[in-house]
Formats: sequence, structure tokens, C-alpha cells
Amino acid sequence: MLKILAVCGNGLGSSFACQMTTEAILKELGVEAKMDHIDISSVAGQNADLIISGKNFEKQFERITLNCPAIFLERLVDKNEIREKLIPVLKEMGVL
Amino acid sequence: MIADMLKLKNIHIVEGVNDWEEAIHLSLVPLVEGGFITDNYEKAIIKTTKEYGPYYVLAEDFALIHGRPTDGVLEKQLSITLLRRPVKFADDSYPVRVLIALAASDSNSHVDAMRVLSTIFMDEDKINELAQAVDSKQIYDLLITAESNLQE
Repeated sequence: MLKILAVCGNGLGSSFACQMTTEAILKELGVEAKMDHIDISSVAGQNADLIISGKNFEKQFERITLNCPAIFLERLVDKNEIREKLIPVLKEMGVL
Repeated sequence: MIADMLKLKNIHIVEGVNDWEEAIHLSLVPLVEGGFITDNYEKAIIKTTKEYGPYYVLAEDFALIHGRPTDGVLEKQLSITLLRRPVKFADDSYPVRVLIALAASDSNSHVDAMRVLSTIFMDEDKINELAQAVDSKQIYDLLITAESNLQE
């Protein structure tokens, strides 16, 4: 199953909020995925198919080698923005 | 249950603040007084804000003020501060009236509370309803109702 990680600085508030909003969108799209939330310092070495994080962390991600696509959001809980950015990536992955 | 993490006395309404640091301070007062966090929690949040910006502003009018469990969380708990006059945490950030302070003891044990809060921060109308509440009891009831709607 698709594994998606929501990432923020602390790994328990903003990323959790982002996870819940993304889960709502995935449900709407009928995509099954396992989501979790994590702090940015623990993200290296994690196995994931997709990473979702805030724009403010984009720079820090440049220092991390990722073996999956990443989406960066202006607003972590904006359903429209998540939908808009998630759909093309899921299509590219062949999930949608 | 959200009632496990939120007490009526943790909810307060204030007219306004002078700056965002005061907003953080005020939002954490019920948690310090209730013995749920140490004084260090506030310092850590302010320090992280200066480093990364207001990472807790989730939407217009809604901030989920939180630090790490190791920053001084003694027991998981929520508090809610409603500002009649909104505060801005940064020039390029949204004005905020609803401040929910979260003390989480680990990354998952507050999942029930987050589920309830998610029904609010994902919904502009719900945030507005909360921002326009007349008293603490109304805020408390809004959250309890949000939880019961979730279980239906």
C-alpha cells in the first residue's frame, strides 16, 4: 500500500494536522494509503512513496536525499491546495 | 475523548495582545497553571518561531501552538485562547484569533483531540464560529459537539 509521510519541525502538531487533511482528500479520491507524521530530523532513511511538508521546510529538504517525490504546501491544512498538488503526483505514480 | 484533554477552565477570551510573544504566553498560561507544562515550553516555542517562522499557524484565524514533548510537557492537555483583536505572528502570516495550545506527550496519544480539531481547522465556517464565540462555555460546547458529530 502507498505510504505517505507528513513532515514538520516537531512531528506531532502541524504534520499531524496535515496528515488528517490529506487523509480526507485521499478518501475523497478513493485512494488507499497508509499515512504517518514525523519530524524533519527523522525523515532521512524512512521508507515512503510520497512526502508532504510545508514550503518553509523546502530548503531543509534539499540537504536530505529522498528516494520519493515530495509536495510542499503553502498551507498545511488547505484542502484545495492539497488536492491540487496531490492529484498530479498520484497520477504520475499510476495510483490515480 | 477531547474532554480528557480540555477543561472549561482552560478556555479564555481576551481583548487583544501587544505582540505575538504575548499571545504565545497567554495561550500557555492555563497549561502552566494546571501543571501540564513547564515554563520552558514557552521559551522553546518562541525560540523555534524565531528560527522557522510561525509553524503553528495552520489557517487564517487558527493557530495550533505547540512544541516538542521534550520541551517541557508533563501531561497532555489543550487550552484555548480567543483573541477579540487578531494577532499576526509574522508579516507574511495570517491574522489569528483562535489559539489552541497543545501539550502532547508523544507523537500519537493526542490523536482523538486532533481528530476533533481537524474538523475545525479544515473548515473556514467552523473556525469563524469558534472565533465569534461569546463565552468559554460556547467554545467548549462547540468542541464537544464536533466530537459527537464525528462519532455518528
